Amino acid sequence: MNRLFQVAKKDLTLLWKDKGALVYMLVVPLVLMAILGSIFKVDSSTESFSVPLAVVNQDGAASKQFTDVLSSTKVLKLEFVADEAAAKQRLSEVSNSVPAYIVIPAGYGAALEGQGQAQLVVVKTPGNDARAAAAESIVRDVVNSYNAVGTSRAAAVAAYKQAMPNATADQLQAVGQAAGSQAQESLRKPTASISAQEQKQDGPTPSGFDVVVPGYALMFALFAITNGAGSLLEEKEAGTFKRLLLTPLRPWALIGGKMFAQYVIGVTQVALLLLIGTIGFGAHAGNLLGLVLLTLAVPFAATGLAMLLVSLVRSRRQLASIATLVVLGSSALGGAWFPLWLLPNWMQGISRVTLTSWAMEGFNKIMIFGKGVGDILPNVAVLIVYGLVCYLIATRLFRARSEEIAA
Amino acid sequence: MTNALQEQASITTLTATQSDTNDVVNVAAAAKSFGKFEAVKGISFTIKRGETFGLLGPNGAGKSTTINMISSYLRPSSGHVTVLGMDTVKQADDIKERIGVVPQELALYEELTAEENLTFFGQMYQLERKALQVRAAELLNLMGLYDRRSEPVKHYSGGMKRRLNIAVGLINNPDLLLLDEPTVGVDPQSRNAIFDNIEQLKARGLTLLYTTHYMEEAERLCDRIAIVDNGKLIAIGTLEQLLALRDQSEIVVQKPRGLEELFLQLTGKTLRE
Repeated sequence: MNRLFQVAKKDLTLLWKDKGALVYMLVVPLVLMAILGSIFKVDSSTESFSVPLAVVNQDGAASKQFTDVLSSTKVLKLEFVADEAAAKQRLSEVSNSVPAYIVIPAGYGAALEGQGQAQLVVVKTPGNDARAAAAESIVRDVVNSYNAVGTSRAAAVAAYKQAMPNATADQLQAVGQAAGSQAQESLRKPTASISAQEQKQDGPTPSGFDVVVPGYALMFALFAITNGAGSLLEEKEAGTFKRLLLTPLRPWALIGGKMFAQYVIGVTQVALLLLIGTIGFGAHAGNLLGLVLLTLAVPFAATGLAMLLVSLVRSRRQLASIATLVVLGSSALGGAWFPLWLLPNWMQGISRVTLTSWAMEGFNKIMIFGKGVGDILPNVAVLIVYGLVCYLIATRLFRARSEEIAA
Repeated sequence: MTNALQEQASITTLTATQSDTNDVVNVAAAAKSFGKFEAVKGISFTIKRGETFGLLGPNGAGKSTTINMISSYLRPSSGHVTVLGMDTVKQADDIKERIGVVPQELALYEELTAEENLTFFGQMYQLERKALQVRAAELLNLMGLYDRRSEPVKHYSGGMKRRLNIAVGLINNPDLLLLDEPTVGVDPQSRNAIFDNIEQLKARGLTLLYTTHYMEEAERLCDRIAIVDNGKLIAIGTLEQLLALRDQSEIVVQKPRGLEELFLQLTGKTLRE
């Protein structure tokens, strides 16, 4: 056992002498965390949601009431333009600030009053811009409401006519106008309305750093551990691996020592990045014991995975390629870059094969949802089993190749 | 090679493998295969205590595989090898405690200093800390590296690295030192310094197994020499005995002027790699 620790100590000494690697392990992830955390930051002072809508009003004052109703929705921010060419120009701007425009044709106001027919045109920006869809939906609702006003007016006239068979045309027109006015008034000031509210959450408001800090800590720990485990290949290439096996050092102690060193490096890196992430960037630590358990379990699984990758390849170059693929793939799939729940269900299912997914779920539970130790124990257990299974497979592969190495 | 010469080698070999308590190494009909490839085909020889034994052969002759079997790194496919009276398969750990190996490659940690390299490899033998410090200093002095002991190995010249490579093989004060081409790629001055180091070790009575491509090294350093080719032992004896093979062989048509000429006559001039 003493020899195992001496091997680990030697690997840690080598890392300590490689200042460039130390900088890479801490500074690079911190810089990325700062940039990405700021991008994903949730800002409570953000203005309420609104959709700019360009309006070409060819009907003039006759449609003013209609445009007033559109404005009263508070979601649509109307921008009146001279003609359709100007509206098209606004829509095609690179800034994409106006996602749609409407053309109100002459006679549209009268048509809304039930006199004649006219068709309003909604033109949207290409693609699936949600703002354009929202604008269209609101305009459609308002037009439908006007149609409902017309229907109310007709219904009132019909009912009056049935009750007063001898009513004059003037009387019927007056009834129709009264019913229409009342309906239009209720259109402006609806008696029944809906209000959407966000449920208040206990504890602090989550920020982008709650995802980015553990996500990037994990991703860079995976890179560092895989790279460190690759020193086993380096030792094979340099001949020190064989030289060590010519001493009384057992193969399991040699591999175990190297794994232990990578584990220590992984724990230190994740702990430091989480510490700086919480103190410096304001990420929420949540339950400290839970965070400590994850900080210990994640590098264990990562070390096992790294040894498995090393056992599958024959050179550092091969390892670099496969490690990049595995680390970036599992980071994207496992929720290290964005929350897991944003992924489609089928992709969330696939992501369960990655240790990142189990780790990030644990970190999210602690740092975003304020859960306790009991809630992350399954994640910790899976990570430990993950590491053990990888280590066992790696050991078998190393053993199978031992004769080959000696040759 | 003719039958006559093979017989000569076999007779010499059989004589040499008769077990003796003075034997440090006894290789008895040892063979090693990797899949269908037979790297070593049943060779036998012994190395006496205090002897410097040279193992010569062209590339791919089976020298390194033989050393790997003696050092317990590889199990023989058949036959057996004993070192210091211990079986290399059953008592591998005990053997590793008492032998030193100087591999052909510079198996050192370049970022560590000479002292750190020696200390780390010494810890693999679980040497007591104080004793390890004393032993490391002694070896650094012996190899002329003491003054630069605190420099990272990456700043050393090729010759200095070679000397440190030997020092690491001696850190556990071994009873047998296996040197696998220890002077590859060094300048004449460094090679001479390494010869001096090895002669000092010889003078101390250390048993050495030395493989090399340089015939003059074997002539200068080795008490007995074995020549292997294609996994077989084709000649063994003292330099004088080998050079006298002319009188007992049909293939050695000219009396060799030296070991190199004999070597080429025995193994042929065809390129091996």
